[in-house]
Amino acid sequence: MTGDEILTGEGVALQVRAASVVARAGAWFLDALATAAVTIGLIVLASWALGDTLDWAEAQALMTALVFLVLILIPATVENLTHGRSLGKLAFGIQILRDDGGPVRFRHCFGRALIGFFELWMTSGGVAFLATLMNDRGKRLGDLLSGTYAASIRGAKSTLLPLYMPQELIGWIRFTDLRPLPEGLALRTRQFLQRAGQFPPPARQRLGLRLAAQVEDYVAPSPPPGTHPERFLAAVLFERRLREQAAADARAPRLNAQLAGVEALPFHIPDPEV
Amino acid sequence: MDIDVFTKLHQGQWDRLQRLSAQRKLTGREADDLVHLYRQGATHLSYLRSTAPDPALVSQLSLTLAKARGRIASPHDSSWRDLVRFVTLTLPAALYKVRWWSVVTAAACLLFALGVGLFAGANPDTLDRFVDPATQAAYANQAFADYYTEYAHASFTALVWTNNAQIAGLCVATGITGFIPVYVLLQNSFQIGVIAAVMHRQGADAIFYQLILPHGLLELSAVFVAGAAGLRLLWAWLVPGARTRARSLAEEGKTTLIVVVALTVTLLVSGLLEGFVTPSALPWWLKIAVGALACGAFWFVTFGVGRWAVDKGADPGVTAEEAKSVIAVAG
Repeated sequence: MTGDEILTGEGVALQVRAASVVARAGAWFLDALATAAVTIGLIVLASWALGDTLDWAEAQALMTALVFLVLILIPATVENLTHGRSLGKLAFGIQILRDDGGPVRFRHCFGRALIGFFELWMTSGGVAFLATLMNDRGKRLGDLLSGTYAASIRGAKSTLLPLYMPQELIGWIRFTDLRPLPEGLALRTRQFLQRAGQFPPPARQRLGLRLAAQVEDYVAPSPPPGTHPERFLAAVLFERRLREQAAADARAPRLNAQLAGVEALPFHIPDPEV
Repeated sequence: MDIDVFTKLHQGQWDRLQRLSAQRKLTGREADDLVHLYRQGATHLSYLRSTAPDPALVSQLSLTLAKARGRIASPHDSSWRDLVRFVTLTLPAALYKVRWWSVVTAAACLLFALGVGLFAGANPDTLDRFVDPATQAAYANQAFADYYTEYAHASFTALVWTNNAQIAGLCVATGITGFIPVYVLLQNSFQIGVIAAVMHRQGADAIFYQLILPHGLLELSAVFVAGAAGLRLLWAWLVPGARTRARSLAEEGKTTLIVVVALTVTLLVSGLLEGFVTPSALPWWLKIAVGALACGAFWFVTFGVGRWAVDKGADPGVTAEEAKSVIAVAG
């Protein structure tokens, strides 16, 4: 298992990237601004409500309690109630998860906040920054001690371009026998077509020819002589998708019927709505 | 299967899964659906990963599943029974786990304080250089006793409690650095030694011990345990044993945090003793007996109740919920 993966109880590895140091720093900076605002508000409120009625011991105790409240208790509570989010984390698409991918509890949040007081506030983030650079999931000390990490929960945007059908090959491909392409080959071909423009021309041609030769093994009869390899590949992928879509559409009613049978309660027990 | 076909076929399910995991309240049928869809989504993901691992699709589906998993396992509200269990089992077990570190730290600090005290008592010149003689006299005659009666009982208790809790929290939060807890502990012991020597030279031994023992026994115990827990964290990091370093830190880190909670309660008790019992008009032997009783109770919880809790299977490092997700590693 690499640093990016979480193994679920079903034995499936989820790929959830750890948030980058820059995003975490940005999120903390936003949170720090919010914290400062809350602190000023509380101080104004306290001095307005209490005025000069406190003796020195009471004022000192109140001060410590205020620091504890604003820098440790409030962040921990916010993080707990929102299942690992905060203002800054919301803005930067970060969520705190347990190492095993589960949701955080108050213990984890409290631990992160308590250690955070030292590594974020006492050292202006310096210790946290160093710690983050030194492990594969970008954990700060508070994460290490609580067994949590900051996951980036903005998924990568899909960059696949739509497939296309070269007009001159329609006549040929419609009556061509396509054997199932190995999955790796299909994906590689698709990615090649997508990035073809980025290759230097000699490499583009070499790769195109090689892929076309591999794909040709699964196609009979061969394309008309003189067909450009990339147009051939595009035609095969497009036709493959058409045929698989048709097959899937034909299968769907039967699959849905089976699923409905599996999920229904036995012995005609009614499934309560609420 | 072609990625586009696959996506088109299942996008509806994934969208519904996402909607359901974001929904606040679920009906019975919706909750069932959530779990069904989650399982199907997991199957889809494993299929994708082994056949056509398109990075963007894998990442999106992973996130959808992670969110759904968080929703399915979403924190149930802490119940009264959890709280009772935490106080009676987890807290003592955490104190029990750090017990030998506590004992050794306490012994070392007391020896250091004793050494400083004896040395300063035997070498008045050195002591005078630290604290000038006039201050010493004033301290012994007035200031030390005044310290405990200057403020109202309650506000003094609040001051002492927050201050001590801050020290304990600092010891633990910075424990992994190693030197900050050591510095805090030694500084504390040093001060005790010096003050004891000052009071001894001024012939005020009786006042010193009458004023410090009622609450000091418990308070110092708590501070020593805090330092010990902090240092133990450093040890867990440096010497993880059969576990990975990260897991060792995570487990011991959680144990340590529970120790902080336990110590905060302990320090509240010692703050109450310091604010109400120490300055009270009770006979001195009764005050010290109360302090000794509180201190004894603390160590009884650590060794007696803690042992019992660990025997009953309480593990402060891993909650029952997390224990289910621990991945076995060969060690």
